[in-house]
Amino acid sequence: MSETIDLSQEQLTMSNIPHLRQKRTSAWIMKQVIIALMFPTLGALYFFGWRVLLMIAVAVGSCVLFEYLFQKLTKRPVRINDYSAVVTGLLIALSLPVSAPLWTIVLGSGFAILVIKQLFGGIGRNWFNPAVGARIMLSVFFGEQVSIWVEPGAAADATTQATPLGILASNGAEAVSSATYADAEMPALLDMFLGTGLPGNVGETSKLLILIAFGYLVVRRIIDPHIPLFFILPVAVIPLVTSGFDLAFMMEHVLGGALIFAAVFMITDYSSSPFSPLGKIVFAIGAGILTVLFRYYSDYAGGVGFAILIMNATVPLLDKYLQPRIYGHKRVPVTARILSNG
Amino acid sequence: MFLLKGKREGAQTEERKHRTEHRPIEEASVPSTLIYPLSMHIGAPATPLVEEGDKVKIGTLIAEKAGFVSANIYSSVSGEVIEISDMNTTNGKGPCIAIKNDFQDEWDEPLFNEGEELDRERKLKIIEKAGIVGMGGATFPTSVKLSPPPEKKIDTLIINGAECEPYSTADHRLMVEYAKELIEGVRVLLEIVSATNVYIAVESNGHESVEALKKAIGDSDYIQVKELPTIYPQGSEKNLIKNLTGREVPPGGLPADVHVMLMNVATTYAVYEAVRLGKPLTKRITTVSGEPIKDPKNLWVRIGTPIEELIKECDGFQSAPGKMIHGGPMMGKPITSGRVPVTKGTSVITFLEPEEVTTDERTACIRCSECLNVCPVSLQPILISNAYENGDIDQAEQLGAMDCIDCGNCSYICPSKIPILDNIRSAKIEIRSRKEKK
Repeated sequence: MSETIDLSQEQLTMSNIPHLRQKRTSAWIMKQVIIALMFPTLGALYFFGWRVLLMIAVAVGSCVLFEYLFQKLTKRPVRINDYSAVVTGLLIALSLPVSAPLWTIVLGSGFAILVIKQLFGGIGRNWFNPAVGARIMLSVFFGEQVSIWVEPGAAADATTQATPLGILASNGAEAVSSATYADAEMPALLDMFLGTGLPGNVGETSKLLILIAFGYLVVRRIIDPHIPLFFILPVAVIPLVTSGFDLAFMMEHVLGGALIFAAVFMITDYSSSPFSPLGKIVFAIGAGILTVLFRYYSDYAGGVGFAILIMNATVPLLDKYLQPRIYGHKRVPVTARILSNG
Repeated sequence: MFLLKGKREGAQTEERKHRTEHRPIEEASVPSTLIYPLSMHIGAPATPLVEEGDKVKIGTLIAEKAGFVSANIYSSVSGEVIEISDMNTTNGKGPCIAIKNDFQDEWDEPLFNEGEELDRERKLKIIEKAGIVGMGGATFPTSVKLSPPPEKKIDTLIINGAECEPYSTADHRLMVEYAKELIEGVRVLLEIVSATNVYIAVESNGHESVEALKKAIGDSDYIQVKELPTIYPQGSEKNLIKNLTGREVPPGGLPADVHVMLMNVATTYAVYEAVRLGKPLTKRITTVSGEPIKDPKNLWVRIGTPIEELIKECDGFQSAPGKMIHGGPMMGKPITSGRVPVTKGTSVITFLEPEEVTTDERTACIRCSECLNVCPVSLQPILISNAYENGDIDQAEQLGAMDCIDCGNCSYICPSKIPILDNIRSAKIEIRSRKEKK
């Protein structure tokens, strides 16, 4: 085309600024989380076998179906194309042991999508993390069914194996100091990192794969890397100090249980964490401290989940009192904000 | 530069400057008819001094400033006044003077006599007379800016070369090709305001300009060239002041409140031409760019040149444009007519392709908090937007709607395509109209 195009012939649009928008959409972000979740998923398949695939299919399928049915029945626009229900399904499947009956997965998915997500107003409005909520609900009401952790490769009816955290906990409050816990029973730290021969929830055992997923999410700028670190910090520091600087004891707490998985995929959840940058840090550190308290003073397996759920409930307060200081405005001390109730 | 997710100084918009940043400025051919809007500055429209049929030369005063905040307008060609009436401008229909070019390029008298000794007051008067306004786009009369109230003593002068809008390279080329003249302009400004800290702010993608400026400054001077990260909106007043001095302009205040004066590089060059050469403001550098443009360029343009002439100058379009913008794609104004003229504030004309300007469907907010992360004044944009949509104007005001600088980062970054800035701007309009009623 060499001749000048007549501008009056063109369909020039008028709209408000800015005229450019970045390309990424909410659905694209959810797809990135799904891609990141493929790393622990592959690990789960490798360590625990094909049943993992079935668990994922049931969890994802029922999450998407429940979301679709709810939106249809309440005559709301169907938004299953945003992939958020897929993410919830994957998270639920990966945070259960391979022995979990399929009906528990369906039940957990229904609870996550219908009660925790949709009844609170749907995507972006749920106070609590749906996958964490499902996991807690199941372990409280169906603890027997979802707390059988078997070693990878063992038959489903094999005897229950104690998880590393179970070993720490079975030594009771004395586990707070390293002197009394039984060294020999603990798996090697390397196994806890790689997930080799480690019983546990299928997606949570290999910390290596979760860290690869973390790297992916950071590079894609889906999550702020500081927030997982602030979450892990107290879980490293408190055991380190209370054990009289026993590094191995510290590492067992850091690598044990759902901590690393939750640090990457749960504490970073958009809907259930604060807006305010300072609020996010308090939220993460608070969840870390609560995790340690649960591990030290409760027999309940799943302290990470409860810790996150409790901090989820504080989000409105954190957002209210820890608002960022606007350019040019004076800093309002938090105490003054609380006293003036706003 | 890779930025992590989390609170940051702004958004990394695509720069899109590669097609013009290395292209030397070319002289645009001068059209046969030029149009001068009487209102191409902030403040009162200028009063015409000519009538249809009058002969004018380059530098003939054709409209006079009408009040303290207003600016003189000069003819940029020699020829004849053919019409004074309402015509299309970038700000809608408004009074304009049209001049027919006789292509003689004869000059009128200079702003002052050669050899005349100029004191501070006289220099200020010449800048006022020359019709100079903020050429970065704000178009606030420069002489007014240079006369802050005495209690607001200026100690820092910032020459703004942080051209942060995508596509825009006019200021960059000016710094590369006219570094000496620009530094001379800075010296003129320093003769008027006695600042002790002088910074020329450049985005770190402009190495070429940094070298040219440093060479022009020499080694003995206190003018410092500051390279700042390439991030949008680096060039906004509030952010430049914060980044270079650590000071923050108070809410509703001006840079002078924190003893700072900012001057765009093109404005500084115009000051040089007026005070050193006696020339009024009749031309400027304009970038014409965007994918649809066949041969994008940086052009010396006579003020009053219709935009369609510049499109011809760039060999027309290689694809059909979807949007024509007076200014950059972040804060510029969409226009639909190619007949509107280049004004004192036209630093760039941007063309976007149809697919670049179609927005995905709006979806629910997922609380990703990216609008907070990229807000340069640390607002919580989505909360203000929500408050407005819920009809809670008090809440919007409490959340700092009036502190918004309209940069557009929130709408740009939002993955749910929520028109956050539109809502904040509407909230601002309502807050203002409420205040006026009271």
